[in-house]
Amino acid sequence: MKILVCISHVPDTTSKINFTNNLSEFDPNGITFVINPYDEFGLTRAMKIKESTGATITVLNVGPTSTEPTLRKALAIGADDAVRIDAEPKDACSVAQIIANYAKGQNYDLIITGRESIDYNGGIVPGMLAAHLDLPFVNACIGLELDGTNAKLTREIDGGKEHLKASLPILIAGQKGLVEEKELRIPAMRGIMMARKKPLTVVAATDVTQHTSVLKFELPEEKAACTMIDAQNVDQLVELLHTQAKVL
Amino acid sequence: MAILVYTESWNGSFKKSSFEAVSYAAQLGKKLNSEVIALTIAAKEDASILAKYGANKILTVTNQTLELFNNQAYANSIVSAAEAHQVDTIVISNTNNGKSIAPIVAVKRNASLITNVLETPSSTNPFTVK
Repeated sequence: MKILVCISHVPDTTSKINFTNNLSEFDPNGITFVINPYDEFGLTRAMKIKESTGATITVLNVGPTSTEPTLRKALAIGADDAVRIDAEPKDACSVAQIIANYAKGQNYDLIITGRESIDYNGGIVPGMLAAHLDLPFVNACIGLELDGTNAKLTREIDGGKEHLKASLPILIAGQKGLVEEKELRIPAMRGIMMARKKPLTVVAATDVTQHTSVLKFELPEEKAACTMIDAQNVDQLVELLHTQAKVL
Repeated sequence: MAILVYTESWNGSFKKSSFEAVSYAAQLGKKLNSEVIALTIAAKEDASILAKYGANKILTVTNQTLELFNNQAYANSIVSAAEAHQVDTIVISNTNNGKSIAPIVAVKRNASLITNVLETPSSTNPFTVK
């Protein structure tokens, strides 16, 4: 079985985000990058499948050379080989098309992406990739059990869960629940040493059309100061909700 | 040209997010001077309620195979409706199901896709939105 896990290279959640060039570009200076957390759930699930079936895991990223440490970390966790498609990701539509152009003909049985990346939170790539590859697609996947080429899946729906079955090949967009947080793999020293010797192939990106472009970023407005009100003073609460918060 | 808005339902009833989506499409329709067409799939609730939120026309798809959500089949229904009614803009709620459908629809229509939209567009040519 061949598994492809798509890896996004994203800022660590504790990073202070800044923008440059008149707020039109993300400033990577001083940022620590990590594997997208949703992808980590997928990679760990792939590792469990590998351990029980002998599957091979390829990790893939669309990005410049600077994303290679993130791919090496995925190799250290246990992926067998890595592919970096050499392109500066411009928008989700083009990234999905670039990955699809590479994955076509590679005969992956299972493709795992994160539900979304925590930088842009678009959640576009997984569904588009499935559509380009004409694969069944399960979004917000929180459970995957394989029995040969049959898959039992669970996905999160608004207010509940849905249980599904499908036959491989399939594409899932995973999140917490695919494995539990405590099961996430941390690269061990042996894994880090072995990762240096594992193949990391760089391939050229195919020409694709960019559909959207960012004009400007905005940082969230700073939270207003908190006003403490005596729990018994409902009249004051109503007054402030009316006059200051303007929600009543 | 027209705007198509997919209205999601649960157990046959429209979700509140669907009313929000129709209202958004109606505001967009005013900016684009376009007709707003609401599409319902496997909804059992009276669809005329969507007119109150700004739908000019309502298309209803009923098929036993669509009673359970299937992202590809639902995307195909949306694409078919869009092709049949000269639609150039499609509005889909940012729900779990919506996020499962929208990318598939975008690929099938060779369309741009913008998610997590907060406002109506500040410009319609080029389409510029926050």
